[in-house]
Amino acid sequence: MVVISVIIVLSLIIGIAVFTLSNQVGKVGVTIDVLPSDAKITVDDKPIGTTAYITPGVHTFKATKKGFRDATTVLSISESRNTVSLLLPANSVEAQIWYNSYPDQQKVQSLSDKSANERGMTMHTRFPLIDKLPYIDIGGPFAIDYGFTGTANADIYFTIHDSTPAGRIKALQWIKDKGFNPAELDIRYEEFINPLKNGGNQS
Amino acid sequence: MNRRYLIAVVAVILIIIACVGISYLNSTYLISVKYTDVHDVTIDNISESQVGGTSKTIATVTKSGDSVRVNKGVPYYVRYKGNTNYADGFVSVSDTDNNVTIIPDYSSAKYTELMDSVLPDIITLLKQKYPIVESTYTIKPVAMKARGEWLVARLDYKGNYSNNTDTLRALFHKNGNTWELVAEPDILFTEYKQKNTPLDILTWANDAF
Repeated sequence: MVVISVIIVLSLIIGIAVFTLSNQVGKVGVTIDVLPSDAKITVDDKPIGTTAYITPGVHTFKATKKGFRDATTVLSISESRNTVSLLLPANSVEAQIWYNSYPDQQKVQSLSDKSANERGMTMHTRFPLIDKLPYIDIGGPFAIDYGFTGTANADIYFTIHDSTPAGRIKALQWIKDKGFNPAELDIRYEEFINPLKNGGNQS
Repeated sequence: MNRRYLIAVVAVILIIIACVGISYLNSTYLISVKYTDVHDVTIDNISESQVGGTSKTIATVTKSGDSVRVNKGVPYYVRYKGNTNYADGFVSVSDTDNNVTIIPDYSSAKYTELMDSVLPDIITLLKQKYPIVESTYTIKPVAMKARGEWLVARLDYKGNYSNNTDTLRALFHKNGNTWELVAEPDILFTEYKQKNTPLDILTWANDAF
């Protein structure tokens, strides 16, 4: 009976080990540094802990806690980029007091710097089109540039300017040709005034 | 001793059989297909069809509700032919989304017929919100989607060329029997302006012409 028990236990151990390892194959071990440390963390809307195995590629990391503003970062995870920093800004007096009395202020500052750096990367990950801007097509004619909306999630708007109706069509086609979906972008036109704006009484 | 040995051998064999069984079940999954208004429903292996250039049918679904067991890790789609007034099409299948319900779209001929019939309604709707629209633009429905639930119309400027004479698009959604204008007609729809409309609909409307 002892032999059978040993065989069954060994089979179970091997099975669990194989299952665990197979779940990690092709994935990257990611460490998430978060403050406050008891904030709820999700990756692509699925709850995770402060360490997780994640498929390489673009993922959205989000941390939430009552009294604090949500912290979101979109990063392209790879073997060389396997840490995520999430610092939840205070959104209440209690949260501000919590930060002020946090014993390791150096950690707060360090995480704040890393978060800011990752927000910059988020911007490029979410809107890779900005790497190709500004762009000017004299023959279009059109020019495309971008600006910041000033929100916490590093949102960006794109302006099509120095353009004619024909140029605007070409500008949108240029965005598509670069592999981007204009419907996903906040696109604004500097010269165009929609004749139907406000029911067609804009003039 | 012999009996113990026999029991051990039986236990090992049972564990091996269980492992093989679990491994098989773990490496396959069932695709369940429900459908109406279509025929010739098959399950095709996408990767093989790409290699060979022709579709590789691995199973035929003879009646709605049938299930077919397939290997994991291989991309499949369920292909079908539409009955009269319905379009042919396919649905992608994955091992996490394997209950397929085929709701075929209308055929092009059916949509052409529908668009002709709804033109007066959408002109009336546009005029209610934009009294100048009919005198300023030529209005023409150009595409419908989701069995006529969505409609995109093209608004071509009638007057002389100036910097605001862009062709606009108007997006309508049918709520019950009533058409609703989803957003102010614009050069392009984006999820930043049209926050309550699905991205795939906005993309479709932008690509309609």
